[in-house]
Amino acid sequence: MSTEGRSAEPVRRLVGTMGRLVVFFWSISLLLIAPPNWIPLAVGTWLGVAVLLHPAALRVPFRRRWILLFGFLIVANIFWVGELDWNLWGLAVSSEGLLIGLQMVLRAVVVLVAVEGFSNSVDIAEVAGLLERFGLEGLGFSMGVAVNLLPFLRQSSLNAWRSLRMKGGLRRQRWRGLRLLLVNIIGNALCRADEVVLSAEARAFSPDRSRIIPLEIGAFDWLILTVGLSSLLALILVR
Amino acid sequence: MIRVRNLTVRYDSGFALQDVTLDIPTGQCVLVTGPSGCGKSTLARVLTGLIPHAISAQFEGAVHVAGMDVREHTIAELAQRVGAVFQNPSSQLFHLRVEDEVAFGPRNLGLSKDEVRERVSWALSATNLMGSMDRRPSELSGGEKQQVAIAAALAMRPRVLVLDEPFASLDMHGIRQVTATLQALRERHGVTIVLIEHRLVEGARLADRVLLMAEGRVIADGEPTAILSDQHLWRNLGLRRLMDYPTEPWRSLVIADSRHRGDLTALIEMRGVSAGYGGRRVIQDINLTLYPGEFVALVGDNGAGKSTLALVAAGLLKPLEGTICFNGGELKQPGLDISLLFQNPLDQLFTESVNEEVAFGPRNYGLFEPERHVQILAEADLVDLRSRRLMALSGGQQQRTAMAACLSLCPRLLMLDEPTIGQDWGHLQRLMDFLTTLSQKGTTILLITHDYKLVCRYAQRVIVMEEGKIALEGRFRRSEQEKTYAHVEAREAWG
Repeated sequence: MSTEGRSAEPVRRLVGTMGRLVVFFWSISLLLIAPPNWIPLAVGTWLGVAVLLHPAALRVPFRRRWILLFGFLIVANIFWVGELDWNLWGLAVSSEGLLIGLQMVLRAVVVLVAVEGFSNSVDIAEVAGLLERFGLEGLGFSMGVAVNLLPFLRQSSLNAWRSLRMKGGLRRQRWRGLRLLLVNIIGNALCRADEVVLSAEARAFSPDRSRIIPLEIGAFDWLILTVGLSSLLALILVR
Repeated sequence: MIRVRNLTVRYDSGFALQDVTLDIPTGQCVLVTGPSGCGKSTLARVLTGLIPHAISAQFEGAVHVAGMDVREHTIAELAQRVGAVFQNPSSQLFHLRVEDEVAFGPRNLGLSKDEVRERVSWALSATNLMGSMDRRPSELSGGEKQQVAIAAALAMRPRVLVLDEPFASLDMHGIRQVTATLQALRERHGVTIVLIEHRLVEGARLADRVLLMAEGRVIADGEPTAILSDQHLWRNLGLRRLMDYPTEPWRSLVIADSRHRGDLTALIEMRGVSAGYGGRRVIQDINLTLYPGEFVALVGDNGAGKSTLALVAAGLLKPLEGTICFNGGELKQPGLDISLLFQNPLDQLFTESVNEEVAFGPRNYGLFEPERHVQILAEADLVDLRSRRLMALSGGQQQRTAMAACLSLCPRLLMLDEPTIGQDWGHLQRLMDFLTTLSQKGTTILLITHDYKLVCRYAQRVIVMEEGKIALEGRFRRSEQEKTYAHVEAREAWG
């Protein structure tokens, strides 16, 4: 068979899955480890990284439900935490509570943006590939089967239920109807699983020889890992 | 490339192939066809090594594919020479990205990263899918899914590609996509193709040769023009001939005509109906009236909203907007007044035997009458099968059982969603004749189908759906081809 055709070498990304995962854990750890007076610096550094890597995720904290939550965090703290030592438009509030509330909001914003940025930039298959490296072999294949089987199962179950409804539903033979419905759904799922296995076997699949989904390593990933780990280590030492 | 000698395959239920001998040279495209249960799929399973390695069956004879004896080599070894594509594209895709799906086979072979990447690129470009490599297979259309399945098979660099009814669940657009891919593979890459199909127009265009099978044997083998023009052979086997397949779009085949018989009151009337799932409207502003005893066809491409319309009419899906009036009032009980036969009969069959299945609905509604039960079994030709387990029935028998279960509640409107999938013309014709009898007795039939011939032959009225709306309503325009066909049939009938 001819092997002509495009065999394009894909352009290597600057930041790969490993780099993005390091940034994700670094962002969360940074805010957890940083002492209170270092938080503005930590947030500034993190903000710079977030703007570079996933600027779109920075819009998430401005959604109405998050703004309401942040407002609630601040209001709860200024009234109930610390001494009421400030007068704000005639109301006695706590300056200590305000600081604590702001810190909580900043941490929440960092976690929110980090999760959004990571989940938008890294495919679930790559996460599965990553977890496979930690001993969960075959996870990528299992997740793929599950994700592709679920819509089928949902539709098949819905059809079975609709079909039962057309036969009177669960009126006179309630328990029998329910049992038959479950058997039908499970039977269909097993048939489908059998088809999947045959199809996988026809492509040389064997559970003993399943291959781990390869991870994409970006050009800067090792640099990001080194800098990220060093900065966290430095923070721990400073504390 | 393929050498089969005295091949006999037997399942627990009986012989599937009997003493089959054939040779297929390199680069040839062979169309294998025949009535349901003739052994086509078993032949595909043998060529890919699934029989005898993964599916239990008695196997006699010798089969060599690309120089490998299928009994001696493992499926993994055979997979490097023979690619397999099955009927249902969804059950062949189990990854989260198209790229990983196509890379699955090469990775299983333990190839290096560069080799896997090179094979994936080649397979995706051969199937014109380079732009879809990051998409999720579950989000693709039926035709695209089947193309991904072909690409996944191609990435194993097979010399032979075996496709088992790849067009079965596709509309015309999907079929054209897959046909173009196969044509390119054959012309540019010299892949030997074994195409197993009921649908002959596209298959005949691709094929150099046709193998016609019946009862596990090859009964005709030759050039497409010679085999496909033997009308008596096709008629005797209950198969369709090439002239049964117009290739024009539905719009050009239907003449607008909204006249109805004035003496009849409407059975069901839908006014301004919109419906969908999760806030997404699948059908919009539907105005449709069905009358007692009508035989109506609902046609359109995949995703046009035909099944959704049927679910709404059956009272199984609530409309977002609009009103549905059944026999002058509201629809009270789904199943009793309106029944819907789903595409996959297995979704509809619950109990352990044919007898129980047909009796379940009437017993549940407290309407069971032994005489009526026996009559329904007789009408659906299920009397001899009444004690059989449902899983032991053929696809056609399962479908007849599901339909008998619907009819046991005497619905006034029966809707059938794609009853043609996987059925040969002989089975279909018997089903349609039965529905015509029902329609003559006053039951309204709504047939959802892609099948031109059924529409042409049986429907009194045709409703064409496009993008969730009724685009055209009228009757089938008999093409010159159909007129000739009708003339030939009449002449044959008169001897």
